[in-house]
Amino acid sequence: MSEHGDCRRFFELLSELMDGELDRATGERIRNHLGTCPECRACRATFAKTVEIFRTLAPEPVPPGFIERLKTRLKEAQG
Amino acid sequence: EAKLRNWLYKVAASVCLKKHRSRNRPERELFLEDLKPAGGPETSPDIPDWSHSPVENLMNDELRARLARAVARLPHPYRLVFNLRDFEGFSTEETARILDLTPQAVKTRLHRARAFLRKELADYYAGGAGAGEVGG
Repeated sequence: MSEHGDCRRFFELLSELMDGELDRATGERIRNHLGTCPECRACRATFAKTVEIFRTLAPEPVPPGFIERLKTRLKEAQG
Repeated sequence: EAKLRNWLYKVAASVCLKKHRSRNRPERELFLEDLKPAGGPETSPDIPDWSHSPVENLMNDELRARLARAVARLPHPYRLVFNLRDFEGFSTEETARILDLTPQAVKTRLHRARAFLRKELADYYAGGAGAGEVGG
């Protein structure tokens, strides 16, 4: 990625762009930049793939009996 | 049920933070400057473009272990945010409430965590470790 200001700004806002958290004007500006910058497009693609890969990892299961023990403790705490 | 879930995570996060702080170790900061691509190998045409490969083709036991190690290397404040947002699926606002952070702090930490993990994966693929999978 070049040191161009738009590339730098793009990288700073990449997560918010992916999560749909940018205001319309900023999102538009970033998308326009993407249309002209193959390096930032490649960056976005690998960034998005990274998030996708981690999201597919199965969460670690809680130990056997944990849920039941938790419910029991909550009932006890409620008196 | 959503309220109970949020409350449970808030309690759990509070316990984790308290326990972690008791160890009295300084937290490592992640700086975006260190994580942004600098014409790095992951954008080079010589490197297989793993971004277009289906996740199931990329995933193997070696990569799973690598991913687990990468997450474990995330500094604790970043790992908490990453876990809540990308593993557990909480929104920015919910994560902020659970961790007593501002939404902007959640966004900043999440982005740095993702950039850190992307760099870890880019190094992995640039090193050729996953070349067999990405080419398929």
